[in-house]
Amino acid sequence: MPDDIPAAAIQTALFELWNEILGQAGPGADTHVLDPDAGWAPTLAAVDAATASQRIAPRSTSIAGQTAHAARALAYLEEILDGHAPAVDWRASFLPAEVDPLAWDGRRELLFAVADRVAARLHGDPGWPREQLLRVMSHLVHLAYHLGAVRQMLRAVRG
Amino acid sequence: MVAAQTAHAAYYLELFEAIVANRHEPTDWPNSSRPLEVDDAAWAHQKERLFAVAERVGARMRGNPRWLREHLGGAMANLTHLAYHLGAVRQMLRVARG
Repeated sequence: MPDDIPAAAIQTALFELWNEILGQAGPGADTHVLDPDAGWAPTLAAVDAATASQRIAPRSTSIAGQTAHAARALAYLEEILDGHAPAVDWRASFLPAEVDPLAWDGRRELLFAVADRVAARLHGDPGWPREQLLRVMSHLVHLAYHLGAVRQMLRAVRG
Repeated sequence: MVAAQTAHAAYYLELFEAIVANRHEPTDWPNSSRPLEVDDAAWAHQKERLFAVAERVGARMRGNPRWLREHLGGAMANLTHLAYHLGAVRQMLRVARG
């Protein structure tokens, strides 16, 4: 990364994409990467627990599983920012793959709650060392990867 | 279709390549995901197209120590966009392979 771009400009670009991928910029917001209203929030808001629990192929997970994994990854980032280096069972992070309506609401709330906490923490920290920038960028890319997976799974489930 | 996702990912990178070269070309999103269906030769072409433009853009960005802010945002958006479509492609493969 060039050293003559101010850190604030890097953070601004990153947070714009962060809000877009999470779908928290509000309905009809301008997008750089996605179709309008195709981020995590509007995508998951339109999915019920039964749909979220379906698997599209043997040995695959479900939308609920992808959502649980995305939340766990963000929680991992939060723990790293807190100075911990937790051991994570990434295989278990895709569980539960099946949810009832109450559990599905809880899974969605968990994802956005941890995303909000991480964003607030990053916003409150004006100076990011290079290592932290790479961590945050990699988590943004990770969120985008699993959003692409979820939206494709949704197409497969709905036929 | 995986071929369409691949074509679209290449197109997005080609747009960024044009912007970095200061060529602001009109966009054609409806055709960015074509062809939907490919034979072996066309599929080989789409794959080569994606990796060729990725290498050109990567080389150009690495060779330029002074990025404009617009280029920074474009590079990050392209990385995020590639990840999104890779996630979709890998789910398509799971369905196709059963």
